[in-house]
Amino acid sequence: MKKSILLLVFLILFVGNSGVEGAEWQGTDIYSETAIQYSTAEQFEAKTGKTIDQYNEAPEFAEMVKQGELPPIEQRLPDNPVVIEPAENIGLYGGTLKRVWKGPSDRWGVRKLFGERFVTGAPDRRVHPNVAESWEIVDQGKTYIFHLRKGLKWSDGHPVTADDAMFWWEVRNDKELDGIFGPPKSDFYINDQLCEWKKIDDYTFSVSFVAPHATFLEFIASEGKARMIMPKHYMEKFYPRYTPLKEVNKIVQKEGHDDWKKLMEAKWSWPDMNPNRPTITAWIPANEPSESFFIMKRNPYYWKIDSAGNQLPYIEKIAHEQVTDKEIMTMRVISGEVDFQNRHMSFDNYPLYMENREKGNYRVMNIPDIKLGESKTVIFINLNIQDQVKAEIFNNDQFRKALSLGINREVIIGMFFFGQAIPFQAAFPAETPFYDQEWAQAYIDYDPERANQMLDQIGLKWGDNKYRQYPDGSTLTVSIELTDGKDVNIYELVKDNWKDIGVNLQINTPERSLREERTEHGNFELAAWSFDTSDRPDLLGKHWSVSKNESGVHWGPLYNKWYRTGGKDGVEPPAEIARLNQIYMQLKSTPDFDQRKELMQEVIDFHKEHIFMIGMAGIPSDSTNSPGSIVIVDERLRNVKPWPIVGVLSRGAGISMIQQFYFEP
Amino acid sequence: MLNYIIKRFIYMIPTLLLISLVVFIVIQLPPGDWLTAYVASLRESGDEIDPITVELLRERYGFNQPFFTKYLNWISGVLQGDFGYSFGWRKPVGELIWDRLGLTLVVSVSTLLFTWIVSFAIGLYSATHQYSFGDYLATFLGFIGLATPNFMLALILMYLAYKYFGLSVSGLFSIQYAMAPWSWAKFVDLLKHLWIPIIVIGTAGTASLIRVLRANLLDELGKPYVVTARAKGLSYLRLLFKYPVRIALIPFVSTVGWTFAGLISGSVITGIVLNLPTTGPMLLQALKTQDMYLAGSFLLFLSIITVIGTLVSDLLLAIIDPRIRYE
Repeated sequence: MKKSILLLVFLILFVGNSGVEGAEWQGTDIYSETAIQYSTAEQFEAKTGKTIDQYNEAPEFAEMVKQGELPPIEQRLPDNPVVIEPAENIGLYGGTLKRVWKGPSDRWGVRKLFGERFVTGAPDRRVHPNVAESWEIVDQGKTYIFHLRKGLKWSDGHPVTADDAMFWWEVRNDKELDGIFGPPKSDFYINDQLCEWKKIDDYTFSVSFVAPHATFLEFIASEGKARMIMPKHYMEKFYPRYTPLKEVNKIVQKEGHDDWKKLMEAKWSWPDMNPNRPTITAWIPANEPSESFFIMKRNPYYWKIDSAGNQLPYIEKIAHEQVTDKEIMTMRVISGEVDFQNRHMSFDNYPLYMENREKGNYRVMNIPDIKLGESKTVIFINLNIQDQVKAEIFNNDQFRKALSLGINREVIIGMFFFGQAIPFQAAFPAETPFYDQEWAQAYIDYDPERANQMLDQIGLKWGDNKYRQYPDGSTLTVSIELTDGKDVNIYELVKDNWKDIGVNLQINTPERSLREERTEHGNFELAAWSFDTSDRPDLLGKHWSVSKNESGVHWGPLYNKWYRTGGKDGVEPPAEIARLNQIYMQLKSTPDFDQRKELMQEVIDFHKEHIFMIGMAGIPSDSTNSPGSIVIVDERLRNVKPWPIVGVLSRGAGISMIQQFYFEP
Repeated sequence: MLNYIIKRFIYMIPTLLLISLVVFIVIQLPPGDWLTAYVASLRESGDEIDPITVELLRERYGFNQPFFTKYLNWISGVLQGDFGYSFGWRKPVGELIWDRLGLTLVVSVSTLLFTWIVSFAIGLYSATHQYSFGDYLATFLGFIGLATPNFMLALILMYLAYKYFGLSVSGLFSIQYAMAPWSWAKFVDLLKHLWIPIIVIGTAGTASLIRVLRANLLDELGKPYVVTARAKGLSYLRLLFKYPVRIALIPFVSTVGWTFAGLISGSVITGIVLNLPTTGPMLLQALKTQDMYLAGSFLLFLSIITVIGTLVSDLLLAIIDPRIRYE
């Protein structure tokens, strides 16, 4: 990335570090041009020397205040509103932002765009205050004390307090509500002991673990993992612990639910089942999400302001048009009917988007993405394959390495990524602190000769039909599972390549749920997926471990099942693979970054040696033009800047802070 | 006649029950269930779901129950007017389909009228002007319409509209009217959008009806009673409408039964391509995601419409064709 602007790097790195203790070790230095969020006006003033004298609000709210329908702006904002310094300019109020979605089942798209996290990640990969104004980590990292933003209000005007946090935790721990709200995610446990929550005062609560929890903040900053607050004043009306069951049942009957649990779920599910539930997001639903245009309007109680004191968001309405077909989405884009869209845009259509950008009056941003857009270019080899003959070969390191050497990556990259990617093993990407060059380049040269030698060595003899044979005399055929037939052409090339080393590749494109079913039961040979470990592979065990918190581990589906079922089902992993899980557990309680790096190095060394996953391409670390995540931005839309690579803490499109976008008239 | 109708309605009950059973079996034939499809789609877009949560959900939604328990629960609900719950939309099925059925009926009925009017006029012309230029032209266009898949026609129309007018013509309403209450302007807006699906869905049906009408009419026109009537001095038009057309109309009426269901389900792909808020796209999505109660209820509805449509067409036939007896 552009490291030249050191001053800004410096600035961003120190934004919002109030009370950040023991969590100052994250990530590489990343420069970003996106808007900057300051936790309080005080911090903003201290950092920039500018001051905020007064608050302003959108014209429709000013009118409502005049009519007496809304309290004045000073009473709606918290004591310390969050200050966002816009990416370019102070914006103008108004306008409707149009985007497409697939309907209520696509609600994650809305949340990713402007959902508010309790604490939040930023382009610098650090955790910053958001709903929580600050926090303290005490007792050697065992206890986290969170300070809520005094005067922060739900969209119905009711204050957000520590009771809302305690209520969230209570509901999550109610056994009767398991499967709806609970049980708490594994990150609320350390050494199998659940953490303890305590209300300290109206705006303060603490979470205590039996041992230090190193990545608790990162966990709550990650997408959709823990929102930490629930509007008690609203939800308690449907909860028999707070409202007599008779009263609750009246509502249950009136609204036609089966019981109070279903009612709780319906009332909480936002926006699809209950668009009216109080929230703290910048926009709130104005109609039913199942309509063909789902409209969201500004939240009068939104708690962030720009650097001139204007209450955000600038844009008045967001209209999500329901479009079920991807091609129609493309059509909407090229005819200029979409103002801002990241979700559902695909890199394959890059040339098409570019060609029509003037006609459609939009520009195209390309955010580098570890997953190379949507392509699934990593081959996972199933070590748990049931066929004994095949299992023996698949578990042979040399076999897998030979397969890797037998792929001509340059050709694939030239043809499918417009030459913009580089050959890359299925390794942690260059953007993470855990990048290991040796792993990234292990067995990625196209060397069929060496591959053939290796296959000869493990005794796979050539048969009469131009392919090698398994030890039992059958043709050396391996089949790969693709999803929905998307990357078939990439694998056609691999098939040609592997023919030269005597391996017969068969390409299968099972329907999605069938594939899911086969993955679950380990009933496949090879699977194509992406190595989407994201920017912080140490936070999740994704793809590198078979931990019980993961699913769809394609190289060891039955090892994974063994952990998930507590040893009842699946296959017990050998010690070296079990060690990966130990590391995963250990990482949770290791705050020291050097130690974490050491642990991760062990993981890296293990995978480097065994190559369970064969990668094809990766993104170059110094390029802003690699295959990635496409963003369509209307030409009139301002304050939109490309953001650094997609990752766990960096929240994708949400990090560009859509709250501070505005339309140039 | 009343007896006949009642009898037919009674026969419908076992037919529909049988259909519902078959439908329910077929929906559950693919491996996995709604949750597997859901997990797969989440994973596809890079989102994750806890394996423990999946198990709890499976339990709660009752996917683990044996087939007949699920079926009995659903069908007994249906009999009481409760069509079950859509997992994908997280809403009761009943709430979901009525909205869409309304707009679907608007599209279907207008398409049906379009089909009938156009094919009646053209078919009549073709038959009475056999082997003329107009007949050849109508035949030519008719065959193209018959041979072109609907969605292809939709794509071509959309492409042309985009290329020359810079519009993406799809959906049924513009954004400013979608939310507004019904008004004259909204109705005009609907008409502006409606013509494309009508033409697209209507063409194939029109073409075949033109051919049928033309052939039937030609058969009739050569019959001795027509010649006799002409010889006796009956005016041509009066003769034409009084006898041959009436007989040639029989196929129009006898197709009502399946036309209705066909218009609702047959427009699935067109509905998706044109992004219509009708039942088609929802049905396909439900089938793809194994949203079993939603899909099941939809298919059941289509069956009911087909069965009733058949009855209606039988009754109409009896009215226009005096040779038919209620036996």
